[in-house]
Amino acid sequence: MRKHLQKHKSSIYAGTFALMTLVPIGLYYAAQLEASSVVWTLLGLVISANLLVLWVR
Amino acid sequence: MAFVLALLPIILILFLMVGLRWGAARAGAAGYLAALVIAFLFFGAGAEVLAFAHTRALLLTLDVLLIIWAAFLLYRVVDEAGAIEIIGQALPRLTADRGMQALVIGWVFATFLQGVGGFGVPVAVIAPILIGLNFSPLVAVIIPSIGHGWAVTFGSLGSSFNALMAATGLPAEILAGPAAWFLGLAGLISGFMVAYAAGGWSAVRRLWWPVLFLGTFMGFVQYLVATTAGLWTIAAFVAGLAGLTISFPLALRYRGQRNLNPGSKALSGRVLVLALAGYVILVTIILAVQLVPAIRHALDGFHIRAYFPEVQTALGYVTPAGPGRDLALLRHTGSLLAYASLVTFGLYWATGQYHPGAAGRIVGGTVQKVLSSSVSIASMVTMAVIMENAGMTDTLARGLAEGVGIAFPAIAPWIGALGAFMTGSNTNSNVVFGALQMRTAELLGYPIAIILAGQTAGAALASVLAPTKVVVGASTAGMAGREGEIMRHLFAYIGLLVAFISILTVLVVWLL
Repeated sequence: MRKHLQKHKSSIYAGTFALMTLVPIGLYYAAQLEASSVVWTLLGLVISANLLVLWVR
Repeated sequence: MAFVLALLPIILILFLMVGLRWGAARAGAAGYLAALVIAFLFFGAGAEVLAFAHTRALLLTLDVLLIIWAAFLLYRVVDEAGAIEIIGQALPRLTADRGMQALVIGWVFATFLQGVGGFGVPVAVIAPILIGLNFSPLVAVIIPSIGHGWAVTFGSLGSSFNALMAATGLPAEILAGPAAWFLGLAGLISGFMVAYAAGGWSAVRRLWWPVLFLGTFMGFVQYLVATTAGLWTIAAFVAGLAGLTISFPLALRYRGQRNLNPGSKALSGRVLVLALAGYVILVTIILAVQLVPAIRHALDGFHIRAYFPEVQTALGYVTPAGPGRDLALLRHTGSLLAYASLVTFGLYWATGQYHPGAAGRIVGGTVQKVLSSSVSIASMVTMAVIMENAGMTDTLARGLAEGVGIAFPAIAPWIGALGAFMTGSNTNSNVVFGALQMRTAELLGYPIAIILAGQTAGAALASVLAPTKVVVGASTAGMAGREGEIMRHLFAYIGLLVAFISILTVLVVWLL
């Protein structure tokens, strides 16, 4: 699994970076609307992406 | 306990990067996740605090990354045309004096390369040139490493300085002067160290005058440009360029005995001018935008900005309402660099400097180089903003203020140095520690600009010791696997330089 992910390191980095730039825009509006569940879902996305980065050597 | 918890994300990054040799992207992700969990579980940062922290962080991240992306793009545009190689070929022809070669190439040219490129480029470009001039591989790595450190903060077209402004919210008018002074003095000492590394005390005694002249001149030029409204982006670059200009007549006075490259063809003036064209175009664009109000106004149309409401953690720490970082996209330094890259590419393309497929290699090389650092900067900036908005930075600052008290000015540069060593960059160190240093200085009543000058100067000088940079130097000098040897030798020089900044910070704080 880890070796397989390793082959896609650049894509994982690019995806994580895209999420870390796009998700905060959604977070801004979700927080203004006090939609906590949306905020946690979006944060979950960013957390998952960063966990992937952690996992890839 | 709160202090230890607040410190944990930073300690984690340090441990992972230095202890386990993780890359900055992985370590940054770990630090970000740790900060997020600790802020939520122990500092009462709820959904609203964390959400707005991410959006604030996005603006800061873009502000920092726009410059890094575009600076590297310009470097690739110029390098692909062979311009860096041409400049590198021209310099050794000036003198056969080894000490003078080390100064001109390993100090002045390294400053110029740091001004325009950064990202380990000075060592990667210069180490092979010095090896070609019969310097030992170890000395060939040591010399440009020492030689470019002083130019890191205002180098890479000001990306590290921009990060300091972004992290602290303070303008260039407050921060640039002290930082440029501290770094200028460190640059002068670096020059003597380069002479020493090249030829021992005899070289220092023989070359003290050119070192003093060049060091004072480059330091003064960097100060002058950095403190002139809006030109801090090109301060190190102009200092390096001015240094190179002065080096030509100086080097002629120290030509040495040996006949240089007998039979080799001299480079024509036209070739050299063309090689420098990219940077002339950049300076022209930056000066035009800064000095011509009509152009500045025309580029002022498109901003990215957001207003943030007041948020409070469950423990009562308040982040006041206010605007986030305002990005004037069309006249952002990153955009000016992108314009310069485009014009330069057009010029080199029109004059037939590129081989087929150059555009693809330029874009591909840029993306490959900046992708990993983009992820690490995004995660580290977000970590720093979460820590700030959750009150973790405040907790650290109060702990530091109580713990070190009056010794803080002496310690501030070492904190910056530690940050650069562990994260591999002056930019990251300023992002992670900028707000912490500012808050601690506020609590203790020390002049903020001086403490932050100590932070960024310590970080700039120590960034050359970062394992990531040393690995680049070692690989280009054929010393792969001997990084520990390089670091041991470098540590003595860099330790002395940071100690000097530490003493300087104490003296200036005391005098003020």
